[in-house]
Amino acid sequence: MNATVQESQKLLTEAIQKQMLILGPEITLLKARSITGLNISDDGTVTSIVGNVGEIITHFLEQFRELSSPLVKKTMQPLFNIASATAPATIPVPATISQPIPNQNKV
Amino acid sequence: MLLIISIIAIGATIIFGTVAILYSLREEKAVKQLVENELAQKQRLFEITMMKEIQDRIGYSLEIEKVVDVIIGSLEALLQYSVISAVFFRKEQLQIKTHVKEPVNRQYLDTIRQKLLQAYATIENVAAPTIPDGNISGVALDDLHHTVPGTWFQVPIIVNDRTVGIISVSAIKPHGITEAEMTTLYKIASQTSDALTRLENILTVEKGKLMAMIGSLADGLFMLDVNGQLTVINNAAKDFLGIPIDNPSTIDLLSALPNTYDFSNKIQRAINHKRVIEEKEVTIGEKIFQIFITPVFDVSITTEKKVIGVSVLLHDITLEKSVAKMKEDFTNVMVHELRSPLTAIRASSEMLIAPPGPLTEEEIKKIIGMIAQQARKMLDEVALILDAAKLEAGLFTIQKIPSDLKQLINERAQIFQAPAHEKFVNLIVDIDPSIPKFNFDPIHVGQVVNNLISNSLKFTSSGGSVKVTAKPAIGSVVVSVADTGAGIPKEKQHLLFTKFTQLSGAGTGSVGTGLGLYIVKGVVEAHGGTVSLESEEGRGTTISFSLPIEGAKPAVEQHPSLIPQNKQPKMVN
Repeated sequence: MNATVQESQKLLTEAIQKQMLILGPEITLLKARSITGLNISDDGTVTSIVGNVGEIITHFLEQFRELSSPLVKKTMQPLFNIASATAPATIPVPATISQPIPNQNKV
Repeated sequence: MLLIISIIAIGATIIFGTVAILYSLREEKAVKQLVENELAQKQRLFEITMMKEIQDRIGYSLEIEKVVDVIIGSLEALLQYSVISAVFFRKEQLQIKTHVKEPVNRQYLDTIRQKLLQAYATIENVAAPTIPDGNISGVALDDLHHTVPGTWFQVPIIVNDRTVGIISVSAIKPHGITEAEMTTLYKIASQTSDALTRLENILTVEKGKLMAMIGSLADGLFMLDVNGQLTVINNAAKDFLGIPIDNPSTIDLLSALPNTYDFSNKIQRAINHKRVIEEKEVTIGEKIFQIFITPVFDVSITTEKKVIGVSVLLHDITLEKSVAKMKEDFTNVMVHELRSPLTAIRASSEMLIAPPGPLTEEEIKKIIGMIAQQARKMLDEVALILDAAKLEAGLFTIQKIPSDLKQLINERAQIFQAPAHEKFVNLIVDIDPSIPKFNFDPIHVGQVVNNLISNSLKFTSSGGSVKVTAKPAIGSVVVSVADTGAGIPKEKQHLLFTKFTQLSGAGTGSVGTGLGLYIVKGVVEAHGGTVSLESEEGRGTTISFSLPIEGAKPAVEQHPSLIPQNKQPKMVN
């Protein structure tokens, strides 16, 4: 298990246990367990992560955003960092091609 | 043959059976789909209905309690719950409200409350607050049953990153609430959070605009809520009341209000009678105010007028009162000024019509002379009023002609020598001989000189002096009339050249008509000159005016610096 997965597992466990306190265990576990690749025990501990960690975290955040977007923003900040760090690189935007300035004297 | 028939029969039976099973499964699936659709429709309908009701109820208010009330009142239509409880902010205090639908015991409610407060503490990252039970409605508690909820979930309502409320829904039965039902409530809460955030942002912007508007008012304004707490006060009100603090408290305001005016009683009357109370004249410090105490109504309630506070407007009428007094005094003076010559004219003419005895030619001439003199006096007064009216209307004109200012001042001063002598006032004239002849209106400038000397004499007591000086300056002549009179108080000096200002000479008992200096200023300014005043109470007053030198003709001892260079003659106004 590499450091990122281990760290993600820890952060996800913390996030799930926090949401269990805020939202209640039933809805939290229902939403968290609906994510493929995430195995969670009844106390909210993430026992294993199978698959792309970044995608799983993104999916996790989406699930809880559906319940309360401001709550996710307020309570899951550490997961945002991992999600953005592990997200696939964006296609680089081509540099703006400067257009030739039309000849002002041209009629 | 029988075997073949049997096989066909069995085959047909299998085929029909399979088809029947397939149809049956399809029908079952269709029914299930229908039920699911119906449920989804029902939940969507509930969602829309509840959002509409929330919006109707909250209107322009940010009271989260109203949202909680709507949800508590409507949730029964969505799901089967036992207890619904909510923690929310009311007047910046955390409150709790509970509705019990199925009998539970005290411990059940305590558990729910603890979970709510723990949720609040977790979101806000603070220590769990301690608050009492609050309002509990619904069925009676039953201490014999149900100590823990079988299923529960909590829905936070967050506005602009602040947790303003959390709703807890629980059921005695384990798994008594489905995921779809929970999700519906989360959607409602989420939309409510968005709506409240938008509303709060709009209200913040609007409040900012309103505060800027109130702040820029020249009138003083402050607002109090129904409990008498100060909610808003603008800078003008703070200035009027002499409150030096940026954010004054209610106590600061109350201690700044004058004891002579019963504000508390008037405010209470405005609230109780729901009408504006107007006070025409209230003196606060050295100023006079018109005060309007207006009840402020809750606009979100349309059925009845609910007062939520009062606004108090302080309109400074000190200047209006002072002008009104000036006008009144002016009328009195003018009546007096015109009545005296009229009385003299009447008495003289009656003497001519019905003399008590035969009159000599000399006596008749004297009486006619008196009538003519009094008529001139009246005409002078009327001319003064007309000039003032023309000045005000911007129709005042002067006629500039080549004139001798030195001669004019000497002549006018000569007229006042006799009255000065009678009053034991030393009238001194000091004119620079190098002042050239130049273009000005001798009649109106003569009026100016007359007025200034006359005023100075009026306000100078016996033994004092009045000195008239005329000196050249660059491109102009400066004439000053200085006296050793009573002087003018600093606070009245700015009113001196305004219309209807009457000076009351300290100890001299003299009054003026109030138009003289107004006309002095008008005449001098019409020439393109300026008037200035230096005065100290008890030491005397100097009024100076300048006249630009136009069309100068060298005097006998002409000073070269006096002749303006490249000066074009001005058009007659």
